[in-house]
Amino acid sequence: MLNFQFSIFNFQFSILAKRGCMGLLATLALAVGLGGIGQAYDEVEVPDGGTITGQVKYVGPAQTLAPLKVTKDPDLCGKEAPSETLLISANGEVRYAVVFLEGISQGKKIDRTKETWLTQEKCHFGPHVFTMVKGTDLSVKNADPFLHNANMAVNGIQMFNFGQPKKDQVIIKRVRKTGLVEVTCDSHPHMEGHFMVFDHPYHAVTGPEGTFTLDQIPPGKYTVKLWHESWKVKGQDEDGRPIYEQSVVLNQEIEVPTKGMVRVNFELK
Amino acid sequence: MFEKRKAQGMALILISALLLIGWGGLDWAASEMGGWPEGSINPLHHPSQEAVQELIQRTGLKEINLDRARELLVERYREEGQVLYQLNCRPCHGVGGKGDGPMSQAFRPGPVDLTAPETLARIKEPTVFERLAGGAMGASTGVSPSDAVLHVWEKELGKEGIWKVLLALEELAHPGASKEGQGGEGKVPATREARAAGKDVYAKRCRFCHGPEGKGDGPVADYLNPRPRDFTRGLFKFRTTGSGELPTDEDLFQTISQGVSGTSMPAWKGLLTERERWEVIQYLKSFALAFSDPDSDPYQAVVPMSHPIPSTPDSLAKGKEIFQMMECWQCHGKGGKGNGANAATLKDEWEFPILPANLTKGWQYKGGHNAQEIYLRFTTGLNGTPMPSYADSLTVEERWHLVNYVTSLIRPERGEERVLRPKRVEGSLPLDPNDPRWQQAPALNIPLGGQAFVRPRWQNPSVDQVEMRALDNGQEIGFRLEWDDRFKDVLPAEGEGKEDGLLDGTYARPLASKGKKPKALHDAVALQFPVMVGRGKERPPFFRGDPRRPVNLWIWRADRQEDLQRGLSIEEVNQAGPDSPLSPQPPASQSVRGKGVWEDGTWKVVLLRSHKTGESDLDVQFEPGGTIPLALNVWDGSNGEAGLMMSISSWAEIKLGIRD
Ligand SMILES: [Cu+2]
Repeated sequence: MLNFQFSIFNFQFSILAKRGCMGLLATLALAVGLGGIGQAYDEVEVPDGGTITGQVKYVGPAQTLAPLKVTKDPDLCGKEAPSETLLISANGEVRYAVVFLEGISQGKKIDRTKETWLTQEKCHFGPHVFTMVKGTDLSVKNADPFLHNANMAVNGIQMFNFGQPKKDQVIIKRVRKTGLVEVTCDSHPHMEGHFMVFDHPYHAVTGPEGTFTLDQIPPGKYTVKLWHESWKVKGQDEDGRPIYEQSVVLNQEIEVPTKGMVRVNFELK
Repeated sequence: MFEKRKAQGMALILISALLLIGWGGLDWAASEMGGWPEGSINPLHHPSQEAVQELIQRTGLKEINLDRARELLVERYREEGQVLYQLNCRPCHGVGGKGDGPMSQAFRPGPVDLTAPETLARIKEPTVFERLAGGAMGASTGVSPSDAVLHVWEKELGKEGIWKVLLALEELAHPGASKEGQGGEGKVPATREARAAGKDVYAKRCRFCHGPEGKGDGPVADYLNPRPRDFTRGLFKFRTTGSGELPTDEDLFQTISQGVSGTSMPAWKGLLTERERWEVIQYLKSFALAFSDPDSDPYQAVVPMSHPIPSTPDSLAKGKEIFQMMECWQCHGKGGKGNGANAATLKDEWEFPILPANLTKGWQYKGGHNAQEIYLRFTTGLNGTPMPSYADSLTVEERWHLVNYVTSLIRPERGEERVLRPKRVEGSLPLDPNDPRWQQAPALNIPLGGQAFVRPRWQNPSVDQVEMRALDNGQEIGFRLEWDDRFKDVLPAEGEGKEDGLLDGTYARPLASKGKKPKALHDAVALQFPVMVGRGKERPPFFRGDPRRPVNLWIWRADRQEDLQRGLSIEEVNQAGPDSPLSPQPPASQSVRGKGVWEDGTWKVVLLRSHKTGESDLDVQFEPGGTIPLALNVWDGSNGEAGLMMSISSWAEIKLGIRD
């Protein structure tokens, strides 16, 4: 069980992670400023904004998680799929971490023309991790010639669950909630993806080099947060789904200078 | 009413103080006053001084008045009695005592309606006590003496436990206690008063399953599969709103009123007034934060409803094609029996295993099976489950074609007929379950329920109906049993649960209560006959007989048929009551032949035997023109069933033809 704390409202919101922690009541006080319920964000001009840039690195012996067992449709999807839960480069750079500002209430304009896509292809949700803004659309495509469903839970509570039986079918959904969303397919137990929904534009997902940039930030003090899915496999359930440790959240207090740049690095260990 | 009890309690303090009643030392007959609770002889109304003192000690309430302490103690007993009732009696008699528990459909005669004027309100308290303590197996109901079901509860609950249950039942014994039929004024506004009234309704009726805080973790929850709803996440299956949205108040009202078919959630329209149902909705919405989030207003998310399309051959053909294209069969199976490739791995949002619906059984459609209800399921999905919405994939018209097709898969409701008439044929009887001659014999559908008599009792049976047909060639009689079973289970393991503490209660808890899937065991079926077929209505108690009236069982096991090294796939055994051992007959006496076939979610098993065996002390003998009682036991291995955890039926009858 995750214990999700919306710092803005100062209440504890207990949720069960959809995948994973059944039975083990691992408690994690995540002071994740994901906007919370009803949090407003004002779009303003930011003429003197600064930039945060940085890198996420893994400290310790490099590791690769065991591939996932694929139980259906082996012709197209194979019998195993590589795990994307922990992707570390040879230099220890971590992909698919989300870096964001906590609880920022005003700043640059939100680009609402940016399209957000989630594609189910060869029994895989791609990209594995992404971010988007509340009130914009998520386009979900099935590129496979058989049934997937996209079963999405935001902060552990189902948000959408739609069947997508036709090849190249695109279903567009307006996302109206903020938080951490877990995406699964009930036809293929190994399929899993994550995204985070914010009510502001200051969020990024690290690339293959573990780097990220947040720009046009109004000068001032902020808490920069990192979320990573987890990298410790605790075991697996009866159907071969891996069960991970709780996800990881790290904080750094920083100050963004006028028109300047601040470097923020995170270490996973 | 409470005041009355209090006064009465005070009047009797003296007596109880003097007698210091031991549970066994009461003289029932002399105490019969009728009209309980006023004239109650329930010793728990008069707690001993020691018990009262102990409560005062334990609670540390030194200041407490003795009378108040006594009241508290009686209330505590009553609370314990309510929990005992809900754990042990509810499966048959229902949450509110109306004789409509989830297993009530299976047995004939059905469980007594405790709220009816001729039951608790009329029967003297000592008689009720004796009935509960000693059971009513073989009690004289006048119809079929040995068909009554009530088992001996004294062994399980002790006298004190039974008195506690009676304390909890006093409300029902009190004429005029039922408020049924009131109301009709419609939805109540979401006021503090409505929530407070709803909280009282919840405390009285809902919390035993759904838990004091709406988390779906009441004392009964672990015994039920599917589990009672956890209200705190705001996930509700049956809605008129889009996927992931909250239900409207009217949606909740509908679910509460009609119950959830195939689960332990009863139809509350006979148990709560309309007003109480609306009030409890206002309260249970307070469990989930989302209901107070203006962004989540369900009334903004109501899906449009349209009119059904007539179920023409053209519409059915289109619906069938849609069923294929949408790949409904991935979960629900090609024939709709809930046995698709995904069935084994599905989980709900709480990580509990969940099975896709068997679409051929209308009575298992949780949200109801009229056309609108089915249409809504396709359109909105079932929140909290893997069943997704198809609103984006199917047009309104296509959804109605699919409704028509799915409706066409529903087989007729189970009937009241209990007589199996073998079809007379010439020549040898077919051993092959798929031999077309079986279709010539008339079918009888026999309902089954959980084994509720001896530990480990079982209230989550998988098989609720078996179709039987019989053929007779004058020498031999043959039976074909057909039932739905999603998975073919052929592992020889013999049960489970002890190590997990699942068998600690009077009922066994399903492994699903721990979020686990049952380990696969083996499927099996047993045909049960009395060894001696008497004249008239006399027959053994329908669950495995008794020492005076033993039964003859023909047991077929899928694991042994799969691998004959494991033993006889069909074994004739005898038993003289469920507490006595099963006695396999010696090899020379084994004369039943048979065969089972599993295909697409269906078992078909044939069992054949000659009319006479020459061993009338062990085997039932099929006399021409005779009427032979017959009952069934069925095990579904992947539902964790083995040993006494199984589905059982009460007696049906075979009417044999006169020899020509
Ligand atoms: Cu899939």
